[in-house]
Amino acid sequence: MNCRRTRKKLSPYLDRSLAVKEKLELERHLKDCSSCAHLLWQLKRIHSLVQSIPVEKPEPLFYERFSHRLSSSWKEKAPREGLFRVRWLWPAFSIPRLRKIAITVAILLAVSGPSFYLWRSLSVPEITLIAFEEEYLQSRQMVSLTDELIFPISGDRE
Amino acid sequence: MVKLSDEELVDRFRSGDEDSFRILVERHSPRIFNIIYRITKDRSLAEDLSQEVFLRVYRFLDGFKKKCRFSTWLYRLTVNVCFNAQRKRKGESKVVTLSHQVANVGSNPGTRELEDESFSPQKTLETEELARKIKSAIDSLPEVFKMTFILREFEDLSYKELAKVFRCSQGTIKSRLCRARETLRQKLEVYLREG
Repeated sequence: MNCRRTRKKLSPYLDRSLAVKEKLELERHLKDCSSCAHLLWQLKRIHSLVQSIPVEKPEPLFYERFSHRLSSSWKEKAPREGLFRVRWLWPAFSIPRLRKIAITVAILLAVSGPSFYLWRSLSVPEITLIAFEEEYLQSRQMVSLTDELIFPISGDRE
Repeated sequence: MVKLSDEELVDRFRSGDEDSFRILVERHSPRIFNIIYRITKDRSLAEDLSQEVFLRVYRFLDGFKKKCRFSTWLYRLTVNVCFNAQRKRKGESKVVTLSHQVANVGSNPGTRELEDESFSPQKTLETEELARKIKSAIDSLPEVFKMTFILREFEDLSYKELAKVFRCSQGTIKSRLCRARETLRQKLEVYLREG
């Protein structure tokens, strides 16, 4: 392993994410190369310095402050409104959102199909044969009337 | 009382137990606050953004499909919130000095001493100075490198977890960490001496 390849592997080596073979090769190189060994030492030193930075904690009663913001944001935006977010509608199950939508569409179709059919059959009168004949005759009369209008007095021509 | 896992708490919350959510917030808020503080270097902003993260958790918990650990999902939300805040800040063209609070480094009694340091006043001063330098060096990293580095160093996330958080390949994570460390090393080279 040359120096260039070694330097690329130093970071994953620190993170212990090198394969065993690569790790052994790198360690062998580090024994012989003081320059690469020095780079590794610097990276280790940076790591230990980063670890020495104190952990910052939030002020006490974080949850109380958060809870206050949550309730005010709830009032403003009503985040859990909507068919797929109302918990009582989907009690105790963790159903994926797409499945919820599919179930809802299926229910809506199952209810709306028969209702539509029922509504149509009640509101539109059935076309009976008699009504059809009447309409046909009326249209025939109209045709003969227009014929007369176009050729009004065939006898006059003579 | 048996300590419930995050995933069990999520299930309980989904079935209507609001107390489970409180446990989740109290369990994770210190960690989330610490990460955001490392990124923003502003306590009140870190508090605000931490709350924003948990608001999102509350709103979008139904969308958590357990394909990854809850903590990974939470880190992803945190990263998104930080990116959005950063974008907003850039949009407002408000200049925020990220290194204005580095003077406090080392003054905290909870500071973990370095393994290889003897506690002579001279060395302590040097260490404090180095810690200050290292903080401002981290601040100067490009945003995405900084976040990746912070999550790796402070939260000890694996490459696999980081790839899930940032939605990229493990190779990308590896290269980001490599570049971040190299940048830090170059910036701090003069302060790092053996002996």
